[in-house]
Amino acid sequence: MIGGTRKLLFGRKKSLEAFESEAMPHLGDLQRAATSLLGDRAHADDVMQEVYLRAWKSFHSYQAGTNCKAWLFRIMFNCIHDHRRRWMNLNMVAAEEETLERKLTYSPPIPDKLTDKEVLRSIEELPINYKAVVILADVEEMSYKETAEILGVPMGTVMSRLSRGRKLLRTSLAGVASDYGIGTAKGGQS
Amino acid sequence: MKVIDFGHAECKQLEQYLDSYVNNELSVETSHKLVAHLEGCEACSREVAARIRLRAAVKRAIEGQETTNDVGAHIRERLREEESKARFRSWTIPLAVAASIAIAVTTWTRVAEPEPWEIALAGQESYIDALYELVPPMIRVGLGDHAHCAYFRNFEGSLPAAEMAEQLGPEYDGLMQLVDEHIPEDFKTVLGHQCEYRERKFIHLALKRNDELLSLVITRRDDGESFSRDELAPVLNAAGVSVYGARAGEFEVAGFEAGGYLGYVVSNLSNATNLEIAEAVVGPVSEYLGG
Repeated sequence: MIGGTRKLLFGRKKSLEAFESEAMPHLGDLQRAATSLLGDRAHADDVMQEVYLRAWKSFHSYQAGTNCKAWLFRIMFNCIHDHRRRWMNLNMVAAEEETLERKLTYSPPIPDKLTDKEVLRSIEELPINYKAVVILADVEEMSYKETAEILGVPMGTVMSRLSRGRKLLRTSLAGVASDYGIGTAKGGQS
Repeated sequence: MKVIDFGHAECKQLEQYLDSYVNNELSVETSHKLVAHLEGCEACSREVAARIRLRAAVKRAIEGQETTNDVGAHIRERLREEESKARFRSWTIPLAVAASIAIAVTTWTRVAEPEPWEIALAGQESYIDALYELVPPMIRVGLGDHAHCAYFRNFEGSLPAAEMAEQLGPEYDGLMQLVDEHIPEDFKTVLGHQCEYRERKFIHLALKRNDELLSLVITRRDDGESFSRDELAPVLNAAGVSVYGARAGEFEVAGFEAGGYLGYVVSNLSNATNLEIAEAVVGPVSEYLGG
């Protein structure tokens, strides 16, 4: 029976080549998302290394042909969650969300001209939970269901965070426009 | 998907659906109804255009960020190191298994006459330790009990069903019949009992079909235990229950969470067949356990 050990141990196929072709092409997207989420490239790079190391260690559980990017994003959010526990008090984030919910009753119009820099600055100001949903649903174009699975939250939470996240972005971008005297599109719905 | 009728809806009521429309999350029918409203409502049309523009601006800004290649290089370097370590372990573990058996046999020969089961047990435990190296902790739970209780047991016939039911206890009355109903007909239950392995208690059913051996292993879930914590991705959704898979050598493991329990289908079948059986039993078993 122990003879099976040989077959067992040498039967394991975990190819770096497969990992390279399946997982590594998504590095850029994850890196950009992590930088936007954390607002700090050095932190994001640390997280990336951890994400890919964790992914490699559990690569045997990944089924070829399934959504590798979504799988990597899930690992990334777990890593970020672990890091953030060390960096800040998560209760503060929850309290912040409640306050925002009370404030968000108005969607200001969106400025006609927006630079990437202004948009990035506004994204940076978003609470991380909203940022996460905006990045997954709007940048990565994942469905509500995929986003909910990656973040481990109900779909209703994804929908409400996306809606509030967009309203916050509009508020912030409207402020930018007004600061610089930039004109805005007329007729934004209240 | 639920179809929303916007026929008489006010613009304000409709606003809540605009984000889902922009993200293409409404059903085709609901989208058609919304579009019909937009055609006659300039304010809502402008609002949709604004949201689409915002979405595009966010996507463009984030995707336009520059990235460095340094991280990729560091990651590849670390992966190569990990791969080297894994190769080293794949050679040393079987050697360690062999050495531990040899030491056990030598020691027992000199000190006391070893019992055959003692020699076998030392080998079994080393074997399971080696298996554990190959999979994340959550997978080890079911794999270890299958290897210990089913794989190393020499089944010749099976206990009478009444005796197995008694060993399972009244708390799990009906479990055997439930599994029997959902598993391919040619599998025969050869073991049903409560057992303990490495200080953890299990409900264990083992089934055989010629040389194929399959276990359904159930255990109470400890606080904080979850497959997602081990970074495992679901490989299957069976009746709304996520199933997580892993392979350790010749063993296929499919694990799931059912309320306060963890369940596993472990076998020496192919990946596809093991998952097929898991898909058939996970839903009913999960419901049985109150998951």
